[in-house]
Amino acid sequence: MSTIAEILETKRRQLADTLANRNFNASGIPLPQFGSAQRFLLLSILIGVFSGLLVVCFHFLIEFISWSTLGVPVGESLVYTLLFPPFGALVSVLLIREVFPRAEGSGINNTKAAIYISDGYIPLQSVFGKFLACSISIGSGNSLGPEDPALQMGAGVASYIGRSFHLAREHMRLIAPVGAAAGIAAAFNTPITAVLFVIEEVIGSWNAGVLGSIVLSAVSSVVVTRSFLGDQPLFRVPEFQFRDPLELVAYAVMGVAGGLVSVAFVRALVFIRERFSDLGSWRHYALPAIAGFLVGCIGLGLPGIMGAGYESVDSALHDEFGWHMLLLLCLAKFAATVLCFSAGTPGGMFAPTLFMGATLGGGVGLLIGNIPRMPEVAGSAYVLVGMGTLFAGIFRTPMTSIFMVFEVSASYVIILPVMIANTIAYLISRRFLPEPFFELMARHEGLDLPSNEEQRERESLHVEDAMSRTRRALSWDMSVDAALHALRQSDVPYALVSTRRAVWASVSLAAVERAREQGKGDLPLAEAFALTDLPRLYMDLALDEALSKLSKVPILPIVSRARPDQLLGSITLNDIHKAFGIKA
Amino acid sequence: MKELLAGSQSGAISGQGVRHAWQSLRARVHHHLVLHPFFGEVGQRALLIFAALFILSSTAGILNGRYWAARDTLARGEFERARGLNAQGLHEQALRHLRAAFHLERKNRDYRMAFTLTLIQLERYGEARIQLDEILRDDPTNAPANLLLARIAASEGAASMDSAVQYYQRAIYGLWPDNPLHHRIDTRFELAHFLASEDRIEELRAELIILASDIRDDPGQLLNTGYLMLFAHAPAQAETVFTRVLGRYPRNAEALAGLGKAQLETGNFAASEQTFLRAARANPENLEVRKQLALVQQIRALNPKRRGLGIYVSADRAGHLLIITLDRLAACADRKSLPPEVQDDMAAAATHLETRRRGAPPAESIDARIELAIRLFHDGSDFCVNPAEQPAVEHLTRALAVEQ
Repeated sequence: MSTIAEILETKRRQLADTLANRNFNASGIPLPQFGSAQRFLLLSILIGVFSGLLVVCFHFLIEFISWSTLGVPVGESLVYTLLFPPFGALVSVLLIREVFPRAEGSGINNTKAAIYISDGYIPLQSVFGKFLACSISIGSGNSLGPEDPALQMGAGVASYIGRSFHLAREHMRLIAPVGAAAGIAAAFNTPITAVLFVIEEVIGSWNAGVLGSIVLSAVSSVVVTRSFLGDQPLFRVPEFQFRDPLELVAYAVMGVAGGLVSVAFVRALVFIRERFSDLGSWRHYALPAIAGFLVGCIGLGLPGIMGAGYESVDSALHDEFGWHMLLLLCLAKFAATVLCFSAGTPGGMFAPTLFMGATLGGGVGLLIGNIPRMPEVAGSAYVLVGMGTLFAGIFRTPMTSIFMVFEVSASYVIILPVMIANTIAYLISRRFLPEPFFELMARHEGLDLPSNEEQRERESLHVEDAMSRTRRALSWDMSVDAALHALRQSDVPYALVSTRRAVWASVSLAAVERAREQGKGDLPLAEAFALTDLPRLYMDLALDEALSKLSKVPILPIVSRARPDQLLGSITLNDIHKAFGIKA
Repeated sequence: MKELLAGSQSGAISGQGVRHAWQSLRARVHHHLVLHPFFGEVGQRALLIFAALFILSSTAGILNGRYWAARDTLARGEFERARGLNAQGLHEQALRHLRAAFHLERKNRDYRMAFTLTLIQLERYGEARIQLDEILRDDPTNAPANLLLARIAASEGAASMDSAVQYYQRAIYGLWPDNPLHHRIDTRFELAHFLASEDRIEELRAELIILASDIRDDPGQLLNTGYLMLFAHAPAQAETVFTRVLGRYPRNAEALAGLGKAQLETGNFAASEQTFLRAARANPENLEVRKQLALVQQIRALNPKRRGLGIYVSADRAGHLLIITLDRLAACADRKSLPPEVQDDMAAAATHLETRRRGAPPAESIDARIELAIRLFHDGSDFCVNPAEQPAVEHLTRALAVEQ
């Protein structure tokens, strides 16, 4: 008996060691070892599930608060409509400033800061802070949206999970965007948009290592969200068709309108934020309350602008409003959002942007529809395109804006109009705004984060920008004497040698001189030297790739991708210095 | 725990006892789970995360139940308020509450339908159409939605006529939530009236034939069908329908009037006269019946082919008919402006009338006179700008043309 007990004890210890050290299992069979990369991928699913659940609870809380404070339908009670927005703003600001100070600021910029500044660290406190403060502020009717907080909650959860599982530093830096994608996918119920947004705005480049994790987390969070909230898209979009190419003119006009309103909105926001920040410290509490009160005043006449305002967007999609009402709603939301955001009330900008875009698009579209000879277009098409234009104009994420409209409408027909209108809005915004919205906000928050837009558009140097196009090379059967003569004529003390197998090698002037001194002057190069194959470069490669290879050899051949035996030129360190403007 | 239980048994749970029990529990959990070699640091974190996940999913599950229940209650409340307002005729206020109910419970068909009906009552057809399109996107066989779309299309004028007919047809053959036969007949009647108002006679006739076979024994519906058949120039079918009604209700004045009219249209003047007489007896105050009776009697007095007439009387009536039709044409058209063949007919009529005065044998010329009278009547209708209305002659020439 004692033997059995001993065996059992041994086994138990082995199992404990296995789980503690993860080297072998109780039966002596090696357990599957998960490196940081695999853990990163697997954790992304966990992050997605967590974020999805959190966003679902966030959604419930916002709705419960909204029903309890503003009632159904919103704006029924004059007293509640006037009192609850300032009260909610005050409570949420108190929470952020006194209880969860690390939850302050834009979710996107906090996530970017986690990547570029704090090695992926986002305090868990910020998740709770955003959850409570934003649900109170948005639920009580302040004109802000839940998507940006959802993004930060996802990023915060991801950061905590990453820390818990001891991910490597390079993975920790990328885990916040994975959570951000999960958060925004759950909030919008749009996985593709979330993935694109995170790549376009948060990471700034297509990073293959993180793409799989972002997709996994976005998908898993959407699956969780849909299992609770249903599989309906954010908006019910009526069917429409694209019939007449003349419609594109209308969409182009809408792009211009969207671009101009985006510029006006961001400028107004920056202007008022700067003015507000000049005020005393009393502003932190007083301004959100005043802004909330003003939103309540607007809400008495136009209750649709209160909170995220998605019901009004849905109504705009279903032809509830005429063009005057749509433009009035756009203007009211513009004012309400500028007030709330500038005052520092917690909440995001996505929902107000979509609201303004939808109402602007609907209003302008209906106005255009009244022009004689213009084709009759469904109002919902204009509303959708309008949403995309403001998204492109304010956030400067053209790809996301196109796919977002496509995903919320589930209509392929809308792609062409959206592409035209969004591109125009984006170009106008670029022309009149020096920096995108989030970078301006980051600057205001005292952060100097890299510009993803600049990063995307920065032109990197390639081999072809630095290479020497002289195609001269020594032949393998050339004598050492002849090679010495050729090298002495050349500007550089080394030369490429073509070998018998149509690959390239190099010899230096010093080595050739040495061989001659050793009496090998008549020998062909192939016999005088042990010619080793050089790595080949192509004209389209980035210069940093050439640079890393030139650390071992002084010269490299540039060949055609189609014919490796065809020499197009050569490159040396000196050539690269010249390309970067560094004097030798 | 023991302290806690002891405290509870003694009748009072002290705060200190609870705190102590909690600390004891925490220490045990920490000792057995957290400090146990079975779990490394990562294991502990993982355990914590999965525990949090469990708590979060349980919370979400509980909130989910409450959330949907609250939505349902709120939506029902809004719907009831809207119903009350709608009943008072306050459609605009009702719409606000219906919109709220519908936003809360998007999948509820009753809310959506009530919302859409209110939109239609407020003549906000564009918005209503979008809602109905969405209903049909989910359920293309939804008959009430198709019917409402048909009404909207019908109200939009000439451009939407075809789509109105299509929606009516889909409503007829779609799925009704209750009493489908009744709804189908009502919808087909609505379609028939719409086709009649648009003068789409061929389609109307087809619908009426189906209606006549679908209707069981409802006299009102049968009478409606019969009169629509008369409108659609289908007197023979109308006669059958009115006869069906009279089979069950032999003294139904409306059915008798309809049958008399149908018989008049088919040229059965004798039967028509008898039926109108019965109709006049059944409802002596019906002036229209009396007018129709007088017309039939006038026709019968003019009819050269009436049974029992001698050959001279027939010839005389044929000649009289020829005079009437010739005078009608001569009164409204300049002879020289008429086409040569019409002028020839007029000359031939004059010759016939001369022959009649000279007392020529009538047997050969009765048919020729009738034929000429029919042609002249048609010429009068074709070439005169405002030909004199002569309903008796019109009915008679039509019947004679069929006989010829």
